[in-house]
Amino acid sequence: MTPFSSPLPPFWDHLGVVVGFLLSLAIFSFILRDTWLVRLAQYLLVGVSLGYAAVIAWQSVLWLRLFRPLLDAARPTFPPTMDALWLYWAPLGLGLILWLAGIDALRGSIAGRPSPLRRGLRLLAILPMGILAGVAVGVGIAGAIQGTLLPQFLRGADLGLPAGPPGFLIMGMLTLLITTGALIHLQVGKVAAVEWKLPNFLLSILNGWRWIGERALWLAAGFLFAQLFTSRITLLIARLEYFLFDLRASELWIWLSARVGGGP
Amino acid sequence: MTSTFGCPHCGKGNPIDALFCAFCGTRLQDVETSLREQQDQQGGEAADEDLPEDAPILPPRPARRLRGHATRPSPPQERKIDDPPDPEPGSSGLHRPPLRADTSFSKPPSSTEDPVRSAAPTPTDRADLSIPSSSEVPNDVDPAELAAWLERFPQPNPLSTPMLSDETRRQLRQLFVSEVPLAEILPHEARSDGGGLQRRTWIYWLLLAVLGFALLFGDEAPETLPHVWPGVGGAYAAINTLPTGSTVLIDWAYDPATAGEMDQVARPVIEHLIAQNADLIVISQLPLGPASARRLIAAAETSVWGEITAQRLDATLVEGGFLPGGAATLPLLGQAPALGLPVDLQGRSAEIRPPLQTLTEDGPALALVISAQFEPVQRWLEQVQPLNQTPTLAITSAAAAPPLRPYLDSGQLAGLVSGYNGGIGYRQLLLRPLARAEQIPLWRQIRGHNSALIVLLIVLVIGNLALSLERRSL
Repeated sequence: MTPFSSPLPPFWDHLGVVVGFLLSLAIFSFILRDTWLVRLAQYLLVGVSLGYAAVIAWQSVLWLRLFRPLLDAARPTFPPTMDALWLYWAPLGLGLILWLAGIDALRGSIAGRPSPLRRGLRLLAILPMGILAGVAVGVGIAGAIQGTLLPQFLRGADLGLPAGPPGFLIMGMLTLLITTGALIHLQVGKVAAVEWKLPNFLLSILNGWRWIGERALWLAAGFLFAQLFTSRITLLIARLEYFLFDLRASELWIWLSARVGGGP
Repeated sequence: MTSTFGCPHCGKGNPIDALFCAFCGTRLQDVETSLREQQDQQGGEAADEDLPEDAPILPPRPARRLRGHATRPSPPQERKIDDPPDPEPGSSGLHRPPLRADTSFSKPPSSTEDPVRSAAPTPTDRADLSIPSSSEVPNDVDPAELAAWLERFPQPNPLSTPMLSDETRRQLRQLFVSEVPLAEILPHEARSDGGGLQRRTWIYWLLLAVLGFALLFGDEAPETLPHVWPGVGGAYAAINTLPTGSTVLIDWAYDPATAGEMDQVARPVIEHLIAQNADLIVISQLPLGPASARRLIAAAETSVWGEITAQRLDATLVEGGFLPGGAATLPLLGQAPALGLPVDLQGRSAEIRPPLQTLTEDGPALALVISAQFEPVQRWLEQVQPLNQTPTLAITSAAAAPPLRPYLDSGQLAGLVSGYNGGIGYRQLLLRPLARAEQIPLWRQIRGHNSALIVLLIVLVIGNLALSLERRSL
């Protein structure tokens, strides 16, 4: 027994093994045919995940970081402190507005002109939505620039000049050649003489460049596929191990074997 | 939902009434439409320079025989098909007769339909790519007028869009923009036209049979270990040099769905951290992440210390719980950890939990992102690492490793452990002997992978042979 052990009686562990076994079989039956069993297992997975997520959201976020601090205040002060205002009351207010507007939207549109209350609610909901969207976009753009674009560009542009090792320079030039070739292939495609009025030798160079980029893309796709195959095979082997070995080592299987084998 | 169709240049979906592709800028409106309209407006003096720059250049020559399709009938002037004159820009030597109202060719385009496609004759069922033959023309049309009118059509250019019926065009568009829903393709239905992945069920059963055989009879140590990609050594060195009692912030970004692989990768790293007596602070942006973390850390603790107690776990582990908000909340962990993680899962604040206090005052000594996808690692490197400059390790699945290699190469990642082979390689570095009961599952993984790769090679070779033979027979 560890501090992380389940507080439930052992029967629920055994039931979990049985349910897991049956659901795994249901998912595997997709190999034979897409039946209601597969759909049932998928819907169960989605439903249970959502339900669990809702419980976690209440336990770990809403109660722990919003409602409990508000309720635990010894004497609610008015006006509230700036910290309390920004950390608790403002999120609570904005969240309530968004929540009510969402429920109103779920009710569907009503024929005719909506009431002033509903119109006002939907207008108010623009504020939290705007904050959510604005923060997400701002954070995303800033992060992409500072965390990906700038460091990767600086690394790609670093050719080791003037006194770096030759291998560094060759790798840098190769990276530049392949990257630009892939860009040409994706943006321009095969260049035809009738479309681009360029000398033939330039067209040949451009098409050759594009050819390199196209092959590099295929090579990268093959590498990605190989790694994806490795990852999925690992999952499949783990699940087969569960069927072939872990299940047989469970107490439930031992009990069943004893009953079927005529044991005590 | 608005109907969409695929751009003929880049294939991306665009609204049905779009004039230009929103992705590559290609003009979607049929060039012949503009040619016809300009010729109608200017009395047959359409100028080449009026055409948009990206319009395909269509040499105005008479029809050529295309795969047995009927050629265009010669006009009464007895022009030869093989020596077409090129009209001067801005003028043409041919008189363009007005369209007759009683023919389908003269149907005026309405404001809601494409003039050319609505006025053009509907090809036969065989998807005729050339100008319609004389047999398809109504009997009351003067052949001379028809021939003169047909002279206005430029010859089909191999690079231009073929003239197809509206229905065929719509089907082609839907084909280009629609993604094949894999769940809808039933495995037991094989296409009779030779296309698609046939014998899919055979491949599945072969793979299962080979894997089952390898697992049932794979309890012996393999001859060789799997290849270990760069990054494992860097991760080991980063953890090995941690002082005792260092605070390590862990973003647990995988859930039980991918635990079959991720547990194998993450467990040796967690065991190493526990052996280094590091203080672990675990947060997760997935609702099921904290439970996965708890389960694996308990197993790792038992493996390292033999038996764990509540006091020991309390001393070494802070469960930060679920952190919602995605990328928008991650900067808090870099700029103001006290705001991002005010209390642990049990509601205890930094005053009671020293690791939280260290996190707030000094920041973590090391950051780990344990994820089955590459996006959580990328988000961490974009939102948190630039703010606190903490060395970051990525523990990921094999599929997530390729997009993260550039970050390892640029130094943003101090180490990268990926896939089951990365977990095995890391465990080799630990130099801690494993019990046989723990070794056997690793051996089975190696043998299973080797067998699966053999099946994949066989399928690739047979598939390529079949494709080559099919091409030759065509």
